[in-house]
Amino acid sequence: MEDAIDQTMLEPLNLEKDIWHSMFLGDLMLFIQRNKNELLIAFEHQNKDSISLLKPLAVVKSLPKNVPLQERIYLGEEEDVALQLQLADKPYQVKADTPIKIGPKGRLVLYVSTPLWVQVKSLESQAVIREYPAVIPRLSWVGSNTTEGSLCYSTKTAAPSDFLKVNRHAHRAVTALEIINDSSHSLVIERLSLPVNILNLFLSPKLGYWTESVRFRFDSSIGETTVVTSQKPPEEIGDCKKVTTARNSGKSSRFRTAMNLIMG
Amino acid sequence: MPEFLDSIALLAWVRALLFIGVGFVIAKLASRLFRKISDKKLSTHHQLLGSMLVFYLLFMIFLFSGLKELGFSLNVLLGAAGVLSVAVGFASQTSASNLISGLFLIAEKPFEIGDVLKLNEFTGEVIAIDLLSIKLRTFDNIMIRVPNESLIKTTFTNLSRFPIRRVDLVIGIAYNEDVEEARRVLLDAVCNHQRALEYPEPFCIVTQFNASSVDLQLSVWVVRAEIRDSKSELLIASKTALDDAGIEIPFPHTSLYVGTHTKPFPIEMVQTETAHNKESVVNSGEENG
Repeated sequence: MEDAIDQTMLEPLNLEKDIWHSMFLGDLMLFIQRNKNELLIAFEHQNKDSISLLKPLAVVKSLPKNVPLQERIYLGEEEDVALQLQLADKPYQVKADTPIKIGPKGRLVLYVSTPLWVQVKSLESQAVIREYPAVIPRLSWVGSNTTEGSLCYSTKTAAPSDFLKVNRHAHRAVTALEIINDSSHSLVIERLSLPVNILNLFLSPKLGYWTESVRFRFDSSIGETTVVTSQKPPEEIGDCKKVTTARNSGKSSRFRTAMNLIMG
Repeated sequence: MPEFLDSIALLAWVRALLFIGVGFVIAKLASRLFRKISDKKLSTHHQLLGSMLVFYLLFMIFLFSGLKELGFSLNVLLGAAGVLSVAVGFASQTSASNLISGLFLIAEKPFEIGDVLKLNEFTGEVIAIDLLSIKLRTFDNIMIRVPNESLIKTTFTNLSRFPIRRVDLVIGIAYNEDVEEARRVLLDAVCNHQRALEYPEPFCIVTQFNASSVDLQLSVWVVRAEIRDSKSELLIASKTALDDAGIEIPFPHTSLYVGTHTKPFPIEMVQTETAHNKESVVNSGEENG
């Protein structure tokens, strides 16, 4: 397994003045410089077919020529900034390589991974100054038709059902997704919307980033899905600590929704 | 001066003005409070209407109280208002029609402030919804006032109703090109494009055998707010992909056939006028020299 970037605590970056620092994660190359109250940020995403990058924050000689300066942010003189990892701001539509069929009253656990985002935050106010996805996400639509539904991101994942077969990457977080078919008919799942924006991010020293487990209980007779998020990642990963609180932490960890808003 | 005014004490005038003045302030505050409370609960459209309703209702109550202080009888006023309303009604048929049309529009809610409407030859963003009309701002920054009555009668298109929209690009390819290959190239180009939504999936169909080209319709779903940039970028991506694949996008052709019934066109090489003139100048120069 690749090592994870340990941005678990909101700690001041203590950037050396007038010197560029860089951090690489997934496809993201993030460059940051602090001059008094000025924060300079430059970033670039490498080609998505390239091998994923991983480099903790470190000093670089200069900003690469092909990376233009994109952000010039002014903060308070004493205001410290920190980097933190977070899950995406929209649900992720997960497409399995092959359609999944769950028999009547059947149950299945899939391990689904979704890309992380890097947030530049103000240490005092905890406000997000800027944020960048580790991988540029593709937008998609989930809903029963083109008028009812919502925008989401899309990712293709092998979604193995065996814990041992889970591919772990430093720039992705894994969610154990339990699917229960409560109806008396078989259920075919081609796409599934995973509400990562209501999930917390955890770091396991051995197994990288995880979210708490999610349970989808489908009942096709009433056309509804019950979504329940547990309080922690699966037991198998052992000890882990919470890194980031969910973006929409106010949303209930248990809610009902129309099936077509989850399955498309 | 009329007799009844003599009998009104100065105090009554002060009280009446106070009623009206304070009433105006209270009505304004209540209207603002309504907008604040309903900020996230109602649409801008309904907030506007609600706040106006609150303002006029409260202000009218205070106004009538003020008038009562001055000794006006409300019964007489209401009676006069009845007669007046008939006269005003005749004089302001158009305004009344616009007003009532406005109420129907509010009830039907076919658009909101910020929506983009296509109305006859105009396309613009709704910047105000008033009692008698709506105001549109076109993309070249022109304000258009559309009476509510016209909106009720006319067909208009709301381009902002749904979060996603389909962009239909019509692309012609030469008759000697492989249509299936062109379809594959175009779909590959947009399927990997950042602006194209992954789902609903893009599709490409043949729509017409045109005069100089086989026309393909490439349909891609995009985020509504990005439609202009998406259309441009998708067209560029399509052109680049076709160029890379060596597939010709033809310009209009005119083929001229010469049948056996006519003799071939006579073709003769002639000197151009400029060349002839130059020759003349050289010759005359030589003669002068």
